[in-house]
Amino acid sequence: MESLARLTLGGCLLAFGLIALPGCSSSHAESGVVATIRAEDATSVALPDLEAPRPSGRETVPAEGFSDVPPFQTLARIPHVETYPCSQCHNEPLKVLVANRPKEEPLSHWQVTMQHAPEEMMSCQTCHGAGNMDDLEMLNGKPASYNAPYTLCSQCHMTQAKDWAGGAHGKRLDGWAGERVVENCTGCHNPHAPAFAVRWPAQLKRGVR
Amino acid sequence: MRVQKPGQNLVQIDPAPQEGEARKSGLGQLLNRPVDRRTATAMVGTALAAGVGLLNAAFSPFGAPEDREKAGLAWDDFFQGNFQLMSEDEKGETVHRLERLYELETGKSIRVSAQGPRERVLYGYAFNVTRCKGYMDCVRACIQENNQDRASGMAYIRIHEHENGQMSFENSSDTFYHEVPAAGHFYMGTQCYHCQNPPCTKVCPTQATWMEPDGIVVVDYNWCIGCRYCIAACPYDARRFNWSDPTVPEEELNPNQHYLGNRLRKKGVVEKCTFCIQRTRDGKNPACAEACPTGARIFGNLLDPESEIRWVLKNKKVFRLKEDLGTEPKFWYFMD
Repeated sequence: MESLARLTLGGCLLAFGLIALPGCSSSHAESGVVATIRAEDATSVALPDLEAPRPSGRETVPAEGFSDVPPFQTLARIPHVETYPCSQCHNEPLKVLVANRPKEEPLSHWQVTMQHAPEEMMSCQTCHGAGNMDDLEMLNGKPASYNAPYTLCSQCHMTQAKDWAGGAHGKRLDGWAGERVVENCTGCHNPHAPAFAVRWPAQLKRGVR
Repeated sequence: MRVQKPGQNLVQIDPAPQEGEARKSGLGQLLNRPVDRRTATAMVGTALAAGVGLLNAAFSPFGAPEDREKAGLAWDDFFQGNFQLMSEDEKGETVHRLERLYELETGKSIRVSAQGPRERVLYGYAFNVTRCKGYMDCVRACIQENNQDRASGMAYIRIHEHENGQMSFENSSDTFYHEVPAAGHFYMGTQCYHCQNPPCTKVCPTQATWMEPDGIVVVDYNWCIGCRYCIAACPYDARRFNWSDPTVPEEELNPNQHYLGNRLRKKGVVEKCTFCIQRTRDGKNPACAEACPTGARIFGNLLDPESEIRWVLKNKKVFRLKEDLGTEPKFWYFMD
């Protein structure tokens, strides 16, 4: 249990202490969890393949709430969340699920490590409410669709959201001409650990021109 | 003479074809122009020396038909006119000849396009200095897309690793190879800026390089004589020279090519970034922008007020390199 407590935040233990099933995790890196897997758990739980390619037949949704820029589309996220809707598993009030949880079972979202804001600032419940599990939850308690994480992220990252809507932040897909389709926030940033990774350059460059 | 004032978009070439005047073939361009006797003698002499071998192969009754076809194509290739003066038919013939020559040599097919510029389009680029992490995915994508010489390690894009607090290109490395982003550093990519007032095109003695109406500065590799005046004239070190025959592994060759873009080059010619003309004239983003995992690269139409690039220019603090030279690069840097 010591390692579990390190893995998850205090809020998670209460809110997500559930049966041993894979949680609402995405099938690729868009909401890829930072996995810290213990060997004994790995045998009992089937983890989603985070490296799996993006499914073909990409779905787009109009980005809403940006009145001062031309209309544009963003990638839908729900089709990529393998276990959506979350109410498939979270079909009872959380309190009941927590109370009925066998003590020896690991938490359902134990593989999620938060590397977002400081612990005292954010917990799982900052974005995932304990009530309506099929939507994200804004700070004011209102729901935000999993297809529109930008409404949630923009509560803190308002300058990034403005730049994203205009075109200075984020990534446009399909080329410069035609309808504007951009990556959603979670297309590039893992919401649980949004910083870009430190890694080796893709190209070894020599001094020759 | 070429007349090109700052801010002027269209390139004027002399002699401009008059209304109703038939365009001339490459050989026609060469022969049917007023020259003095000395120049004419020199031209005929050069042509004879180069042509005798080709002629011999092309019209010899000996040898395989394929060899004769190849020699015939090589003859046409040698006397090919300047791309700027070609009619649409001649452009078609020219790219078909390149496709056929490649097929005869390798048995494999490529597609070479001569697609012209779109109406009311002027390409521009913005680079987010804050977002770039030095991953160099753009460099890799550019080399592969544009069939750049692998042996010499040629690359159009350079990513400079600057220490925070200054922007000195003398003190920064563009050949770093360590884990990135390095603490206390920021990254800045340079490539051809497709200046609206390009110094490189003005010094070319053969008019082998010019700015297209959509703002892309291109090179006709067939007309480049390798004098490298343009390399000397470019204030941004954006042009590259093929000191040896460029090599591209056949399995890595990009078969989707453009005459003014990523078609295969020869030894002794200058090449450069073309904003991936073979992609952008199709409505796609350049390979570098598409490959960038951080979204630091923004490409679009400067004449479209609703484009991303225009939003960046209007809403962010942007700067260009060596603005005082008056080269008017269409490539801006900005910070978050």
